[in-house]
Amino acid sequence: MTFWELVALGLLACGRAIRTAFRSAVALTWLPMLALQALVILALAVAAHPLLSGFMAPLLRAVSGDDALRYPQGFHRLPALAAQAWFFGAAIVGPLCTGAAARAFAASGAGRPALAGTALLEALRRWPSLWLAALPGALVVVGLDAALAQLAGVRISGPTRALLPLLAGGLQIAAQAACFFPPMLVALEDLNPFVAIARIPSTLEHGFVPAAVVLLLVAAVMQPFGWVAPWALGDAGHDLPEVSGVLAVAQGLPHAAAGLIASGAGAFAYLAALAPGEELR
Amino acid sequence: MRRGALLVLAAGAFAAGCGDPALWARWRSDRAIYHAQALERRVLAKGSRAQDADLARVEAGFAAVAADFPTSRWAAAVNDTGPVHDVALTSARATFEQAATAARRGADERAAALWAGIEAADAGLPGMVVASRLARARALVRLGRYDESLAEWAGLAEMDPIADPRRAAPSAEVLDAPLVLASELRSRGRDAAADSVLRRADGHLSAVLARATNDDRPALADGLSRVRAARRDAPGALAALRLALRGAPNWEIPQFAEELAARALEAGAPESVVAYSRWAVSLDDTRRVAGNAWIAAARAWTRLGQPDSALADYDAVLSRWIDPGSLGPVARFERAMLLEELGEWERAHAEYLALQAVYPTQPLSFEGARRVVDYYQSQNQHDLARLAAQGEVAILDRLRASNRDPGVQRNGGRVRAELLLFLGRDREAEDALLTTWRSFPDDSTSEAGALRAAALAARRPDGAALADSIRAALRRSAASATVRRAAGALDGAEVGVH
Repeated sequence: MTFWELVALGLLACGRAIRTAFRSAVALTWLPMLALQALVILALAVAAHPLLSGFMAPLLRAVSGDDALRYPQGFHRLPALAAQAWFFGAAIVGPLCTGAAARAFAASGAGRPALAGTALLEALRRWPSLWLAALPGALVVVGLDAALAQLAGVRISGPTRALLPLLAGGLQIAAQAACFFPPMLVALEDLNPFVAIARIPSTLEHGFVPAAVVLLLVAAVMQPFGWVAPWALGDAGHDLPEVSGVLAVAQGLPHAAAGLIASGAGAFAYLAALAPGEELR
Repeated sequence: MRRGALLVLAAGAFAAGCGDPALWARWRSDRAIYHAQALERRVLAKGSRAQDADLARVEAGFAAVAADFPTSRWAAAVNDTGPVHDVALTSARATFEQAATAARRGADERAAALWAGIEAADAGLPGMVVASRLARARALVRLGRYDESLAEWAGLAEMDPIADPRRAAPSAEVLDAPLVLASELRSRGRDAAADSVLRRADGHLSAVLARATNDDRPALADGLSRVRAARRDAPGALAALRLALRGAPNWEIPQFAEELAARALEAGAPESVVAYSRWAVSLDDTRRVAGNAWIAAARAWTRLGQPDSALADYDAVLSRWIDPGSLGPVARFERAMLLEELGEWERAHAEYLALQAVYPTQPLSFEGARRVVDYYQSQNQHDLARLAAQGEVAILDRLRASNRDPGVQRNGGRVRAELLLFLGRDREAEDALLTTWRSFPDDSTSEAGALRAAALAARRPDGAALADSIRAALRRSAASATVRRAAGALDGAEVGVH
């Protein structure tokens, strides 16, 4: 396959994932992630309640200070806390949802009914394996983020400082594209996670470019959906800080949609270009 | 699986039992007062369009917060700076805001009672007690209960300025209280009581200073020094400031040296002023330090009867910097007055004219013009005095028409009214005084001017009703206690308000 054919494959996989997501119940596979995020945000919002403060208060004090347990400061800090919560939620529950979505998309692609519940149960059985298979990608993201944070205190030129996040973003996408398929191998081929990780080099020739295209598209579409601060809402954010809690839950939707489409596109790209004896159906 | 679920349930129940109810009470009280304050902000943003019903809703909002979190209950539970302290603080703040809103609606009696409630209940919240005492003292003045107001100031003066565990610095209000109280007592001719207040404050602040930390010591020493300066105890005042100097970092020492000079002047020790000024100038030649030190030294030389040295120090201020900033008008005005006293009228006149030319909008410039008129009058050169007054009125008319700066409008308006009175244009002077008062109703000088306008109106055959209404308004809402008392008399002019 030529480079442009691989690019086209990535685009086609994305298109097909979007169409499938609208037509079947595969979208429900990312519901656990959304539900977890909503629960975490609720817990953050009312962390001072006696039912929660036993464990939430020390946690929040350590992460964001005592003011995070007060009103309205807690809500003011909610977008930043929600972003962190999403990150940790995605690291823990994300592989489960990715695995379930990959199986549901594959079933739908094969013309079988895409039963989200069944896919989730199967993924739940493979959760530890899926988590281990997704670990290299997660570590790369964390590592690059930490490196970027370290650079904040280093004396560098203005243009370099402006370009560094772009460069880091590019590196993250390249590294994530390289580590894109091990969770698919676990979910679709039922491979041992270490074997799946060991197969990364063999997936690069036909898998790297489509995966990079998928990740680039998802990143581009997600650009307008940052975690918005409540004062961005103007008077509504000031008069009713609780709005930022609702907003933080709502903002989970595009993030979950991005995860779903990336999982589906990954599954289709895998089946088309990497699976032994398979073709894009 | 079932055992796991049971374990999770047990852990949840354990965690629930570990929760701190005070944290939740704090969250709810924060939320309640946040929304009460948001309503207040919306109502106050309406400005003059805000109706009494709007303010009533604001007051009710704060009252609801205070009722849900009773100050007496939460303040009694305060034993640290944790969430219980925060709830008590929020509760007291709600009561305070409720009282402030009541006062804004004209219900000073109710406001004073609410503030008294905070004082009675909030032994653990000294910051709120200070704010309540201050607000109550002002409300009592508005109610005409002057002695009770003095009692509030006395209570404030006896408080511990470093009692608030969350203070950023010793309470400035507590440190100022003895000075305010003494000044108020002196204005009523109760000098012995004023001396007693200052003597007690000296002892009290000395004791507080002895147990204060290094962070609090400079502000406390400064407060003690001001009290001693008010007692005319120059060595004591300077000794207190030197205490602060001892623990101060190097970069603060020039400022302290300049303050020592100013305090020595206040306390009536001109020789020390000269010495400290020289020291301050040698440490730092900025306008803030050297400029103020030169002005203090010039004043000291004047008191010591050495006008040449004083003139040299004023010259130093004016020649050291191309723009001496706010010190310029002061140096020129005081130099002109000194020259006038020395009998060098031509030079003094030139200085007053230079002051007007260089700083046309400065209050001292207006004052200079008035002094020119006074000088001619004192020399029985009545025609020259009238000419100077007419010229200055024309200048002030042009200035006030072209410059909307509040300072220019207020000070220019006051001096213009005085000059109009001198010219015998009483009706215009009356209008000028009333216009200035209506533009700056909370300014004590404007209030005194309004009282004068009432006296002028009372002299006209058709002005009695206007005079009565002005006096009634001043009795009801004047910020200055002196003006309130004077407005109670039949004629402001008779009680010496000019």
